Amino acid sequence: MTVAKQANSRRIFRAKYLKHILAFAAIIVILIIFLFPVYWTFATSVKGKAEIFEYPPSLIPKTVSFDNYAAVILGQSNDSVVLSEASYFKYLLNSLIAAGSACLVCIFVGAFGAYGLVRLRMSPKGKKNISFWIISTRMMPPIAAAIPFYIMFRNLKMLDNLGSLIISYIAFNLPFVIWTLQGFFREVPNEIYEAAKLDGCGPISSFMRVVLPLSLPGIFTAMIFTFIFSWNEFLFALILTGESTKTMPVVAASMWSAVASRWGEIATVGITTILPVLILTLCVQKYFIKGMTFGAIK
Amino acid sequence: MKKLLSALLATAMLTVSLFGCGQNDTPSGSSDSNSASGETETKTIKFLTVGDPYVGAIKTLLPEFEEKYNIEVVVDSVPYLDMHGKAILELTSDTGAYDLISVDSPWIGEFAEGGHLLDLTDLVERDAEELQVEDFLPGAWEGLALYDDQIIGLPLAPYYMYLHYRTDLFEENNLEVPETKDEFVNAIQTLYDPDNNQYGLAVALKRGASIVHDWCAYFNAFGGKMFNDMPNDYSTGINSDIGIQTTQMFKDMLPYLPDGVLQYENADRWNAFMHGSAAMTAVFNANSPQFETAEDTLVAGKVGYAPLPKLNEEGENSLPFGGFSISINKDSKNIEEAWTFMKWMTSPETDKKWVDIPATPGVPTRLSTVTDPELVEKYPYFQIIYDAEINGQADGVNYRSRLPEWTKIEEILGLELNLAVSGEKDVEEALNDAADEINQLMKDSGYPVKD
Amino acid sequence: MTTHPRIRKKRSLMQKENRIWKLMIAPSMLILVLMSIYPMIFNIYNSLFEWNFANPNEPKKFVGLQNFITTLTDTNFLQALLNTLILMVSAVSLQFILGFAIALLFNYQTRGTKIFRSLFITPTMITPIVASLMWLLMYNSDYGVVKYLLTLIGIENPPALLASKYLAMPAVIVVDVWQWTPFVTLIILAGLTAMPKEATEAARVDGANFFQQLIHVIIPSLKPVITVALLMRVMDTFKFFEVVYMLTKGGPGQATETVSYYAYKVGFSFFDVGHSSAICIIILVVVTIICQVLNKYMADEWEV
Repeated sequence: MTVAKQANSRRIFRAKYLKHILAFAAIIVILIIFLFPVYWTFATSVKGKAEIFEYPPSLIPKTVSFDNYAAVILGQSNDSVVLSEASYFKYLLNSLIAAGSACLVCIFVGAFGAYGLVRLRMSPKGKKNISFWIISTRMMPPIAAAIPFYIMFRNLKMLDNLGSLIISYIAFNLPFVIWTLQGFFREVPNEIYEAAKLDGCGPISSFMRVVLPLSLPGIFTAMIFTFIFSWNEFLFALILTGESTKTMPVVAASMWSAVASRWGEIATVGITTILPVLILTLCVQKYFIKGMTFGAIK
Repeated sequence: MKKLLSALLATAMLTVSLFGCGQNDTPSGSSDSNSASGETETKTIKFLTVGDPYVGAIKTLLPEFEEKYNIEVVVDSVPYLDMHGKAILELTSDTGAYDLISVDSPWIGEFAEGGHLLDLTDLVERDAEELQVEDFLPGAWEGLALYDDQIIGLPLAPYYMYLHYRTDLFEENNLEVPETKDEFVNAIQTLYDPDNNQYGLAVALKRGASIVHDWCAYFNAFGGKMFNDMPNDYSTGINSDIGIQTTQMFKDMLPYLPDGVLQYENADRWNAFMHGSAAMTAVFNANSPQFETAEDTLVAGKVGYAPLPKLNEEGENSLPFGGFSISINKDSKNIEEAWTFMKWMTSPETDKKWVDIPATPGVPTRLSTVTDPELVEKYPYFQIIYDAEINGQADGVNYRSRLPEWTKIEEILGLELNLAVSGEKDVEEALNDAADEINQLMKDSGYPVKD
Repeated sequence: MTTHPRIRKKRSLMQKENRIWKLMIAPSMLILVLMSIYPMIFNIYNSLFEWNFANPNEPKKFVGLQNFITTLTDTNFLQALLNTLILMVSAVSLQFILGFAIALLFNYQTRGTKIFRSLFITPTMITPIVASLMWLLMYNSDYGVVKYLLTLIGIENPPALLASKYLAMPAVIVVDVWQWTPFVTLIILAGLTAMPKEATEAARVDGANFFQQLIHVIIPSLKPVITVALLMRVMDTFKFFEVVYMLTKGGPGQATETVSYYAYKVGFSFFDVGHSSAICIIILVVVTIICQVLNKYMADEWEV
């Protein structure tokens, strides 16, 4: 009797174990498929020029050379758009400044805005309309804003100026931030807020001291996506910047030409562009996954 | 009340930090150029150009210029795909942020009629001796410098389109270099050997600029005209007999061309040639040096050059060309400096140097360059350019069009040609549809169009 | 008539608080009004004109609703709209099916997979313009790795995907699915993680099998999360542009032309600003309708 029971439980245990192994294997396979293009970008960046054009292509680079990195980062190539170490880091810094400031301002302004909107006492219908209007600003195709923004910054004499890029990115990402954070702030139970008030906290300080810390996952998620969207933005970066204010996506695109195939260089810019974002994500991954509900679970 | 005040303060700080941010982050670039022009003698001019390999050549030569004239040149390259849009925005902005701009030949009309390019007539007259206009390749001068009684720029990079063929394969197959369409078709069929990944021709047939680019070159070489009788009649000639024959040829040849030829862009056709899978291709001379010297070329020493085939024996050769002028932005505040740079850049002396820069050579603009014995030996295709130029066969005016309507024409043609060649639409029907649309467009834009 | 002092005090306190909330909202509103109302007005106003931006010598010409009529009777635009809807339905549903499956896997096997979750988001993080160029390289018909991988799984002479009328759209969809499935997955995964275990536990005790649990318990409780993700993806599909721009230029024929690319050409290549404004407004109307309908039948997300 007990022997049979033991055997049974062992079977169940084994089945469960097997299931976990299968699930793990499936995850690995899926990961390989989805990361293959990223791997291919990396492989292309370290392959020799001739190897890129070989067919059948070598799935694992036969030779690994960092010539492309030297060409792109240190400017050790004639046929490169980036021609000196200084300019590469200048472009990288431009990207960091543009995406970073847009991201910080967005979170700061957006957090206040979202919280105010959650707390504000007004008719539900009015609130709903405001919310819809906020998110609808995200629906326009990029070209709809490109020309008016260009004209506006031209009149403000702000072309070839990172400020114009930052303002644009704030404008595009603010709706997303407000939308996301609203959900998280709503999740914070009213009792906590009331309790903080009884402790003598004003509305602002209760927000800063109590609500914000509870919504960290949301803050981080909104921050990462704002950063990614700004970091990768191309059209506005192209039309609003000049030589001294270029950002990385524009540099990557500049490599593309009808009379030169610079796959290696493009891949290299791609890899060096994704690294900062990847590092940022890994740093806050604890909050990041939690925050991906976008506050929609009540 | 205190709380309200603090809230107000917080909001105010927020607003200040936001707008302050925009100002604080004003990049160093603008202040740099200010201080540069204010404190020292060095002037800075900015050059907006497409990111073609010649940029590498310019950047290699620049230090020489900067030292000699004490003018700093900032070269800003933009991908070709986005160059047109970026250029128009910059030119219409009236800020003169860029002093110099490289203009692709089909955009000349649009930029010139928009009043964005400085008319150089007076400057050219003033410095005629130094400039040596008669030494410019005459076709390039006509196609890249002159527009409507104006001189809108100097030829910077005329790109001539001609046939590149594999001498070894032609010998193996006992083929003569094709001079007519029939010989051309025959060569493509003879050289078809898919088992060895060997095809007769590589041509770009992807929808959009790619197919228009290549189709127009063959159409032009066969004697076709984009517009029937400029300036009296702007009805299009694309649906003429020549247009139909050109299109039909590509359609008929499709089975003999590489599988992906309908997704080929400009780069794919010369890559196919350079890596050995295509025995012929028509590409610009900007690519010619790569076949001999690129790191990854497999055809070095096996490349022959010839003009594009004619329709038949009676026809006359044509060497279509496009490429870039260098022009001065009308709003430039540094016209003299920009002009100095242009003159230097296109001067016979610089020209000889920049066509000979390893890895990223420039392209010739001067007769004295394409006849320089040393250079001709190194770059045999100079002969083709020279022959066509002195015979008046270099055609940059009828190849595509330099009228402001070009971007729209290109869109119409790009779609209909792609449909026709792929067999989705009847050749004649597609060309007629395209012609109707183009004629309507020209009529609407106020050109004389005869039915 | 007098109000009780305590109530009055409470009310004035509430009003005072409300004022603070309004002040907190003010900067956001200011930015949004300036930055979204301005392009909106710009587009609505200019859609009534014929305006060649490239040529300042040509005066703007009032044409009334002509731009809208031209657009809505243009078969190319209607084809592009249809393509976009096809793209939207197929790409978004694939993203959700895959996303759901992968999220369930991640949720089941939590041990040792945390780092994988973060790595999994990489496709969403890669610069779209670089990603598109890399796919152009991978789809190359001469030396592209996709062709090679297809031969490895037993397809002899794989066709050139981007050259085919039937396969170009799927090829484009693959890129979008690759780039955004991880995003959808992580959203659903976060929802699964936040979901109380009791719900599924109770269903299991009642004898529901996995699929019954999925349909009756898991999906309904994830509805709000799904709606958020769905709305974001739908909106983004209408902005879908880089991939088409780099990979196919809308071809072969009109197989992959999308509205966003169409608007780009009219606006940024022809500089027909009036016409492109009209197109943008039409797109905006279509997206708004779709989002409202989705919102109505899914969960009421605007209130979140």
